[in-house]
Amino acid sequence: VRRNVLVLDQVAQVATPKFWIIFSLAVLSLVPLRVAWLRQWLWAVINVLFLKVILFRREFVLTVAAVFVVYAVVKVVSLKPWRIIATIVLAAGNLTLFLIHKFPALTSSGHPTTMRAVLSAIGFSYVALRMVDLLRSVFEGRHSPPTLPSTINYLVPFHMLAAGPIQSFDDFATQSLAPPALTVHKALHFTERMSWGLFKKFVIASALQKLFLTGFRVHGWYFLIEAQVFYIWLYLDFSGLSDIAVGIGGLLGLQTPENFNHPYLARNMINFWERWHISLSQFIRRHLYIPIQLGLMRQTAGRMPLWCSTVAFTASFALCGLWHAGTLRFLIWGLLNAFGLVVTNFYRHYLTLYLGAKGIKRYLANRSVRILATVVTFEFVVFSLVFIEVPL
Amino acid sequence: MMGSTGTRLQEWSRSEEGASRAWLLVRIVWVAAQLVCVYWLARQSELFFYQGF
Repeated sequence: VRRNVLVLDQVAQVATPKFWIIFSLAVLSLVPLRVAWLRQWLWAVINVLFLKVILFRREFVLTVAAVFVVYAVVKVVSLKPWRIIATIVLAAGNLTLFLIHKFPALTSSGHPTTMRAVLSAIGFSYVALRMVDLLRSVFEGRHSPPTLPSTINYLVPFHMLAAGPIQSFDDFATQSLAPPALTVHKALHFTERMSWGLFKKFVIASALQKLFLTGFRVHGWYFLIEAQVFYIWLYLDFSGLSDIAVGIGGLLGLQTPENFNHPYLARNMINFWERWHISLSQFIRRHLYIPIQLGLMRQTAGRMPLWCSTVAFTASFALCGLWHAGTLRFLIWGLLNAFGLVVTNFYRHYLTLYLGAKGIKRYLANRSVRILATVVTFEFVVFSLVFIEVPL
Repeated sequence: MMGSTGTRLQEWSRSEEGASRAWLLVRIVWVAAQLVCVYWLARQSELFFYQGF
């Protein structure tokens, strides 16, 4: 029984009664409360309570202790004499846990299965990225180190453990601690959002999976149909989870970033990543793409901007692929996305040179071009996604 | 009797307040329908809600 319960990953948590009991408790206690500091503490207690109900005592104690350690070390990061050492310690710890979580083949010896189960249960992929954001914000002096309840609320918010979104620490630190009272209109709006998310994930996506998806174990024309359905299924499943998180966040007065904006309407791959898993693509931009591109631009004295972007896209999306899972298929998926982004970047550059500013405006306004571009982008995404599922 | 109730209902739904309340009712029913559907399907599935809801 112990193993069975612990084996639940973070996505399955959303489907358990425990999740919705904690949600009800959060609504009953946080919605009427207007005192900022009390809200912070109560919200932290609810998040810790959620960890308590999804983990066994030993794992729960270890997880909470780890959050305490992060809180203490981040405090040290803000102190001049120790900031470098504290940053290295925290970054190394974060990376080690991430490798244990995502690269089981590399780290199979010496790490008990339960550790991986715990990392999976709390959605460590997302926690690790939040940790990077927090660490960098404090290291660069953009924010003072968070209080203990803020550290808990930022790192392990129960409604964002399943599938993000990855809230930036800037957004978290600047949100209102005592949001305006919940009106009937807002309550209905966010309940609709939550129930639509549940319906998308557990009814529509579930039905699509059962009726159409075979794990690409078929050949011929059905393979092509399954590839299209796989993209639609993934969108409904993933955006459903995001809708649930946004709905819960809205009801509780907690800022929860949007993660999807009709990605199937994207007209190129750059536009696609502005619409798909938005919080991840913004994280990649902040922490990988811009630093790599700026570094290369400085190295080359700004002579080769397109090639600097090419290297930055490739490195960023190779790592993006490996963040999803430490496997060859996800590396291929990441590199294919990088290829799509690089091609879009070159195409955009040469089209601007060739058509000029007015010509580009006409080109972008052209309906036929838009439809063609949207179809090509859709099919490219379908093609790239096949690699994460097809038997190799 | 039925006719007058029907007429009153039609008049009410045409008024601004009535239309907005009718729309609110539709939204609440839609949310309830979705949640009932999710719950019912989840009960059928062993994968989700297997701990018993």
